[in-house]
Amino acid sequence: MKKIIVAFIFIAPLLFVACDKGEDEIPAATPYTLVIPEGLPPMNIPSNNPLTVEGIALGKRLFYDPILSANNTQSCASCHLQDFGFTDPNQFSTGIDGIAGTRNAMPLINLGWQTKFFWDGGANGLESQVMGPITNPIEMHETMANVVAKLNATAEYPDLFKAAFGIAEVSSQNIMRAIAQFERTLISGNSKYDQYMRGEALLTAQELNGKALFEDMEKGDCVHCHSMGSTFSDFEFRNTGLDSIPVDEGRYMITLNASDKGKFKTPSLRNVELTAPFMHDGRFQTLLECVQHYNTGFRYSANLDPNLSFAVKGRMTQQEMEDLVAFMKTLTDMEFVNNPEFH
Amino acid sequence: MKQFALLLITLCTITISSCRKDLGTKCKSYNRVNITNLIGTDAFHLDSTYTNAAGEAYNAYMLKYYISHMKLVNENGERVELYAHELIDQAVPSSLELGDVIIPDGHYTSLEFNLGVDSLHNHSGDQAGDLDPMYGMIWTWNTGYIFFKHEGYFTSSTSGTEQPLIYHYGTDRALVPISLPIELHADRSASVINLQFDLNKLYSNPNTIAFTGNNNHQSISTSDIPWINTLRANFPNAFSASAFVFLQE
Ligand code: HEC
Ligand code: HEC
Repeated sequence: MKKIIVAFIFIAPLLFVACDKGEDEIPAATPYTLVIPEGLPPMNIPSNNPLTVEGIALGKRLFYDPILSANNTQSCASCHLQDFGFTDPNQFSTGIDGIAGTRNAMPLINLGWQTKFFWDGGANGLESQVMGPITNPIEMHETMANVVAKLNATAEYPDLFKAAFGIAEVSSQNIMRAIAQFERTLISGNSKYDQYMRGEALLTAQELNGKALFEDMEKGDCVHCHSMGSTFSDFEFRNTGLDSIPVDEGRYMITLNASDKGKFKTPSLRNVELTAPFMHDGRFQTLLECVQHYNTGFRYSANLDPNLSFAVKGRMTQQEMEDLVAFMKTLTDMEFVNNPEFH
Repeated sequence: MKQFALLLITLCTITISSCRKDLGTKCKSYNRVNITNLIGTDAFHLDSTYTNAAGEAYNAYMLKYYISHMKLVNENGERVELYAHELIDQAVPSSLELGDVIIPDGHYTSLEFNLGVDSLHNHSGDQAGDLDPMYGMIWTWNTGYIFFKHEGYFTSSTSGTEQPLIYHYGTDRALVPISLPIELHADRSASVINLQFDLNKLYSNPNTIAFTGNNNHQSISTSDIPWINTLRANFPNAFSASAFVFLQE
């Protein structure tokens, strides 16, 4: 490929003299201005994939199109349902061959603020992540080469790719870029909590108490990892003591560092009321079970996060655990779940 | 591609002669690189049966690898990059011909390249050209390129049965910088470098690799690391290069 480019640079001046007919200018895609709700930090958008109206529309269409799977039956939305904060209400999602995976699907919310994807952070970037589900044999079980060929053979897609990227020929790179653009628009920032922070709504006494416990180092101490200030995660990898000998080794499978055994990406808690079941393996059905885990259930091991290994078991009362749950429910953003732009 | 090469040769001649007229400008030459996969001195073929140094019969239905940042180094240690990333696929003959590149005239004494994809490019699938994920040389669950892929069958030395051989070699620690001596006097000339890769040497020089009980490595677990280290030590010895000037103005 490179050789053609090098050669072209050399012969280009000759060609331009010879054939200066002037190709029709391809109209550039329309820049899209992302509206970031107050309280959320600015988003880093890769300079080689700026958001455009046409790119986002194409990404959305691809996200909902089962053509991305080998037998054309499953789309991204089969496992990432908007009603459930773009996650799957099943503990394990089933791919096109009827085989279930071993991890709970992750919600697709505020992805634009994250840099590593999947529970173990194996995908480096939102664009690269797109290849994962498409080629995973227990998910969409397709090849990128086939997807490119199938999309090129349709009547509509080449025009849509041309509108978005200026090139009618579908490429894996532009498939990844379009879907990543759409995913960057999946922003949630209008929950009751956000309205409270903007002075537009009030929290109940119980919710306020839950908020205090969430931040209290002696009690919930959730804020250490699910950092406040809007994203409700620091997106670091932590071992929260779900098992003393982890079945799924998580981050270790990517880094091969023994100290990463049993570490998983800290998920955002936004819309957590809708994203059950919980944890990487979907072992908990309710938010109360999650809080119980942090209060009494966590198990000790060399890799247990220090925030938990020093925490006193049973430090919260039943009432306090319920207050924490009430607070987490203030993070539900119905505007996000019902946003017509997302479906 | 063929016409293109012809066109280039014509263009070469034009510039080479125009360079002679205009003595003030720096003179340039053209160089291309052709790759041949070998078994000893014979050309390698997919699906043919060979015998490795451990005495096991084996074949390959797939043999692909990445070569990155191939450079020519002149006697003063100055480098000129010929190609950024090239996927060599035995099943795609055109991938073995790396095409003409303009180089400054000079006396070149070595050819440098990496077997694999450098760490700057190894962690994103959002790339085009030979790094396009379409070529199936990328791990998607742990973003990174498969530097070298040999899939085939071999005869187990213990059971005598035919078994699958799956070698997917990669991760940053697996990158192999390689430098080969060559002798190239580029002087308003067109030249070719023949780069040869001997698969049997990869599995024998200096470390002999037996496939039996060692036939599935995908660079994913700690148990793959000794295997990565062994191949990394062998790779430089599996390559050799020689240069020929075929057109001199
Ligand atoms: C068969 C079900 C299934 C399908 C289809 C599917 N996903 Fe997923 N998705 C999952 C699961 C399960 C995970 C968690 C995987 C893991 O951690 O190993 C996940 C994780 C993700 C993540 C990571 C989120 C984070 O916070 O790290 C993104 C982004 C994502 N999927 C996007 C997509 C896109 C885009 C598509 C379509 C191209 C898609 N998914 C198709 C099940 C699915
Ligand atoms: C040491 C860091 C850390 C602390 C402290 C922490 N969490 Fe977590 N939290 C995580 C990680 C990591 C996960 C994912 C664990 C997994 O699946 O293996 C998680 C998962 C969760 C989930 C499940 C989310 C989902 O989408 O599956 C909830 C709910 C939750 N935490 C709530 C809390 C609450 C409430 C507190 C305070 C009592 C808290 N966390 C304290 C790191 C932490």
